[in-house]
Amino acid sequence: MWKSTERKGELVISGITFCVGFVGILMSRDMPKGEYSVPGPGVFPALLGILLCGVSLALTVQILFGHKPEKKVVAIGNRYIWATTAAIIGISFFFERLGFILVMAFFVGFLLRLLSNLRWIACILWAFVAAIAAYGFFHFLLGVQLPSARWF
Amino acid sequence: MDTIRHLLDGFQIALTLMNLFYCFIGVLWGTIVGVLPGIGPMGGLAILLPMTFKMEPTSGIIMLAGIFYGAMYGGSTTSILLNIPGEAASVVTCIDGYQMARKGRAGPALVVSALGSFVGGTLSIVALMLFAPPLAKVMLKIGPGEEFSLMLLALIVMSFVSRAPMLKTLTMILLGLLFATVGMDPFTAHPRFTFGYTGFAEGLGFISMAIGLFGISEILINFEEIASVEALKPTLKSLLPRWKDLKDSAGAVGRGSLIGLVFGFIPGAAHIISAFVSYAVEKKISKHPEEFGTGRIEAVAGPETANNAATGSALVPLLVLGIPAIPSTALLMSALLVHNINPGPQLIQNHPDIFWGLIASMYVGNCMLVFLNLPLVGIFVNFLRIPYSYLAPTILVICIVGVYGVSFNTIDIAVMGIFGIIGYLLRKFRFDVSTLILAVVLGDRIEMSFRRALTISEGSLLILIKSSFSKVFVIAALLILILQTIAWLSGFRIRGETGSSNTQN
Repeated sequence: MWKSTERKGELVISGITFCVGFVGILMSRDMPKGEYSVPGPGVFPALLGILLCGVSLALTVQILFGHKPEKKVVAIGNRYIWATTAAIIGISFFFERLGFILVMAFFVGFLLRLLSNLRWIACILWAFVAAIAAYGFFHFLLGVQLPSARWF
Repeated sequence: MDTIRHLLDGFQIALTLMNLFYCFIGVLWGTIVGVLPGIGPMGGLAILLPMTFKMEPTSGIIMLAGIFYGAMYGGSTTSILLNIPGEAASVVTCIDGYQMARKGRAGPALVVSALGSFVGGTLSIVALMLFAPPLAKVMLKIGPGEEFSLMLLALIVMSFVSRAPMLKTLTMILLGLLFATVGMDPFTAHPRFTFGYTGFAEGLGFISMAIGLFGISEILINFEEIASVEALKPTLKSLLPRWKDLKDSAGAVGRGSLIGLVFGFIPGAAHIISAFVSYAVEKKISKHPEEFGTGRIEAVAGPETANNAATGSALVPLLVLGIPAIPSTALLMSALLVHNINPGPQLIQNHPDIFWGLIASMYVGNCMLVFLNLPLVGIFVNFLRIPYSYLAPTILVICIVGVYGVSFNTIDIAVMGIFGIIGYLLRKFRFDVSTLILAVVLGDRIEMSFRRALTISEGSLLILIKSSFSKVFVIAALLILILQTIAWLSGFRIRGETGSSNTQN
């Protein structure tokens, strides 16, 4: 688990939003601006980028020079958080390649093992049961088209 | 008298066994899809739409309308229980509804939400019945200039409502507006911030972002102390609202109804804006504004009532003008067109059975919803008994399916995950993610109305303050801004302190 003071974290976030605004301004330079009476697609993002940079800068100044009586320490993340986030993002790569049932079974099994006291074999069994039940509920009952594996 | 006579004829149609059955199917299905995050009314309507092709047109439209307003009821359930907004207007309900659930008061929140939705829904049907043609005339006067000034007012109200400091809120609003520009430009189809990837052509996806910022981030925050996250054990007594809850909510329900009816005529974003304005009003007039965000029942009752009160108005452009103001009503329109029925000014004259049958069925459906949802409160709240180590994977699976089901694009799952971690970090450092997501929702409309207004006026900005509507919205926005600036400069806080341990911020 990382630890950071609240002030440092806020500064990092305001810095990131400043960078996002700046990237917005840079990328909107290549977009057509149109005319004054018919604004093009580049106008709004450029305007928003400028405003975001300005507000982020003001926020940074406020954080740096504003009065904070105590240095509050904030704990960030632990293995459950990073593992779960990585698993969710990883699902997007394998979802259509391996199919809903297999991917969900692995995902649920992984989470059950991570979060509960169940043994691996119990996690995998329950995970497959849950994945098949979810497939039946969403695919057949609700009509949501879920992917089957590419080799089926 | 004519209206009463027509309504009685409508009830004769709506109260046939067959139409009662289809109405029940519609509201039940609407509640289910409203509860499941991601699938929403559009998905629910799309799934059942083909079934209506072989039905009588009146029966078909009754069923589909049931899904439409049923989903509004269901959307608040996951907002309150899991901090996952079922649909855009339920984002406001997450703020205090979820905090009530964390305090073991999910039952009263759900009950008050259902009752408020019933009152708001009933009033909106009355408005639809009595005022549909004049409401339609008013809606025709809302042009891009008026829409832009209203959206601006909504953004400024957002900054007022947020518990976070003003600069942090403004940062989130501007970030949300910038995220909303990702995708193809609506006028020229020029790609913006897509980095050459076609998966981003339709933007980042509101559902992915909302579920990520709220639901996934909430799960991640709970994972910090997974060992100490206890399952709730609700008792029967705790399911029911106290007399004080009903008393506190009564005023909010009344005010929310009016707000929903007034703002309901704004095409497109009526539900969201009316929910937000209701929250702002309740916070402003409350004797304890600093407690908003920690689980005030008025903050659930008002917005949910306003949200449902705007529902009837959303049907006015479709039925009276033949213009679907929101995507869900576009599907209703397709159901009518399949049966060779053209919604529009002639609908009431040429097909009075459909118009009045629909109105009457909405009364019936609204009653069905409250009788359906109140007993379900006990079942929904009992989900919270499940140990979190099992509940969290279940919620995640539902979220993944919901997000994937929107456009069958796996990148949406990754977006949800990324915004989950973004939401987690923002909330850790007390940035308000609700203003970010609401800015995303309004961002498209703000830009479109701004550019349309300038095109119509050939570049003159006066169009933004030309009409009476615009003047009212702009003056209200300026007043709020001035008051906030004075308060900020003088060191007073209009909003509550941000020193609480509320994880919403």
